[in-house]
Amino acid sequence: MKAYEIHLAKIREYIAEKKRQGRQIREIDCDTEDEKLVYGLPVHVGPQGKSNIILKEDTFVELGNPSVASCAFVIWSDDLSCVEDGRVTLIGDDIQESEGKSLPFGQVIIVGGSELKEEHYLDLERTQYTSDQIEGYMLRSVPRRVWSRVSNEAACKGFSFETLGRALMSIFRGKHPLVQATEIVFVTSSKEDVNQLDGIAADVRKFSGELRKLVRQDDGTYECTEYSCETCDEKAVCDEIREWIILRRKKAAGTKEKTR
Amino acid sequence: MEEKYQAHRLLYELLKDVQEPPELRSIVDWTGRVLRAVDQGQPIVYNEFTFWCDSMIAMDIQPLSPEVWPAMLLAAVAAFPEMVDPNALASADNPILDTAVEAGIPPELCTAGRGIVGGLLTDFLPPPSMTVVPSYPCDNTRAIYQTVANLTGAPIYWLDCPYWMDEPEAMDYWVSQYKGLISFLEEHSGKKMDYDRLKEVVEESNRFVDYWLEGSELLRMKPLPQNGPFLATEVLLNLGLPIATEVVKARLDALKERIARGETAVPEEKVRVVWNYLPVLWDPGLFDWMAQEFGAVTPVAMGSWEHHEPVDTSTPESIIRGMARRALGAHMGRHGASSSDVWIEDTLHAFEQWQGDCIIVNGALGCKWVRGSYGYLRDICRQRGIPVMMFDADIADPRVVSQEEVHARIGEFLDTVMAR
Repeated sequence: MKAYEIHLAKIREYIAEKKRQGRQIREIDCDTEDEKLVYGLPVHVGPQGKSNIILKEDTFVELGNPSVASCAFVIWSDDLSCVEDGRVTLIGDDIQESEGKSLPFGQVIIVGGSELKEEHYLDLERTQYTSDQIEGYMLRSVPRRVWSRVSNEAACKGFSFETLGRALMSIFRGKHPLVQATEIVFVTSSKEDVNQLDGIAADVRKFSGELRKLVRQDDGTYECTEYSCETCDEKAVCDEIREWIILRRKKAAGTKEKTR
Repeated sequence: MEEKYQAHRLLYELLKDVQEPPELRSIVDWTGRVLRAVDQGQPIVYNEFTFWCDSMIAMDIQPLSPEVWPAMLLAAVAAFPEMVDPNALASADNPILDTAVEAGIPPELCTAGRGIVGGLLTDFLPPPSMTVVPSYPCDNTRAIYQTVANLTGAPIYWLDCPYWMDEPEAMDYWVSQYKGLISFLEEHSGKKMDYDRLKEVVEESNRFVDYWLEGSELLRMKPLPQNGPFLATEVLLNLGLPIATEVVKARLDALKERIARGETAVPEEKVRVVWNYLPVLWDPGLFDWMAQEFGAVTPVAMGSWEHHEPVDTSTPESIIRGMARRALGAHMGRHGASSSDVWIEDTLHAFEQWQGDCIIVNGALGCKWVRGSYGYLRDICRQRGIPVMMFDADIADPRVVSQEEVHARIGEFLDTVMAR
């Protein structure tokens, strides 16, 4: 099975559904040659020389406030044909149309690389939270959430979702040499649309959780399938827990028998 | 009853009109409310130190986080350091902790927990009418609060937190625990939750969280404008009351004024320390000492940058769900609820966000679950070339490792490793 096939299919279906529902959708195709990704952008992309803190009073638009709706995740594929390299899809209003607003915000970053493997996923996932790399754009200091602000100054310079998309693509390609294709989907149309995206995110999170050794079984127990027990450094603890589980089940069975 | 809690009564009388520092006002106000509840026979609910008090405030039930009760004394020490010499504490008796041990509480248990039992047995701590405890962060709290229930006879409500929150069913289960909390508070206080009042309180708490997050984020600036961390114990004391919001806003405004004047924490910032564990609470001057002696500033520590999420207040259901979700972000709570990678990831996140140069964590004797993760963190930091220092120092008992020794250890690290 190709990695994240199901999640990619769901994203494509999601976009198609939004088109059918008549949402405002813009598709921007960017030149992905490294220098050209950030060429001509209105803001600097890369380590910021000065503080990138944007206070409330300097905020042009807020994205992904948790009390509104917020969802962000990364999908990867080793099949480059699955990724529309350089495409930024925007479902909903753009930055320039949203002065003073707090928008629901969904962000899906799709990366492709023929050498990408499951073990790269966690680093890829972390990269979406990289802060202080885009002038005028600040990720709030809340772990594992994309809740952000665009400054008045950046908006005056013309900051848009195309800017953000190209900047993120550049950052991913810069940090991960194995990434050969990048595509980004932004959703600001409505809280409901972002929450719907969160359903896909939940599957992705569950899948990435399964990469961390333990997989939840139907009976609610957790089994490890990723590593060999013989080389796993948690084997001793794991064996002890299994013994306790067996003892508890026996005890529970014994109690049931008595009550009958 | 009036003869009990004399230390707190005396300090309350001395400090009730003090306006600066703002955080002292908040703790003094809370202390006054607790003492009034005691004197008037009003219900008091213990909220364990990772559990925010807004639900109780909304029902006008006085929260008392027993781990924080000594904070009144520590806050007074921090505000008026000439009152107590931490070095003297190292050789002084501690009748509260010692009483707990003599009563049978193992000395290996967390000091905060021993302090609660000892506090009850020595009448230092007012007893609860009821207790609310989440299943996180650790075995220490689970053991101690069972003891509290046993000693006081007060009913106890456990919020059972799932280990993994990946599945939607896990969040639904957790939300049901929160709804059960409200039923519990209603049953044992004789009061009913007024959801209009809850909405007011939660909206006030949203304003608080907004200011707190901004204050915490401003400490990402380099050089640091003011030595941190930007703590907010109000979440346990009076979150949802205007005084809590006023206090955190006052601190934020003061910080912004410093930034506007171009002031920095130290003349020459040499090291930025990420301290993703509880500070050494009995030495409130430690971070300032590090800054003055070594130019080592502390922009962030555990408890200063929780999962600050505003709550959607459109419906009672969205409020409860939002509060439940926010509860999962509480300091230490989120780290103790699940696997060790949560704490490790948060530490690395803080290191990046607050532009750290090194990580320092102290290890309290009873805090086995965090200390068990220290080896992993050390290995990861080695891979990434992040200097890290781990040392023993209890969070609340200066007799375990003295201030002198704490200073010597930290000083050695900053003088050698960080001076390279």
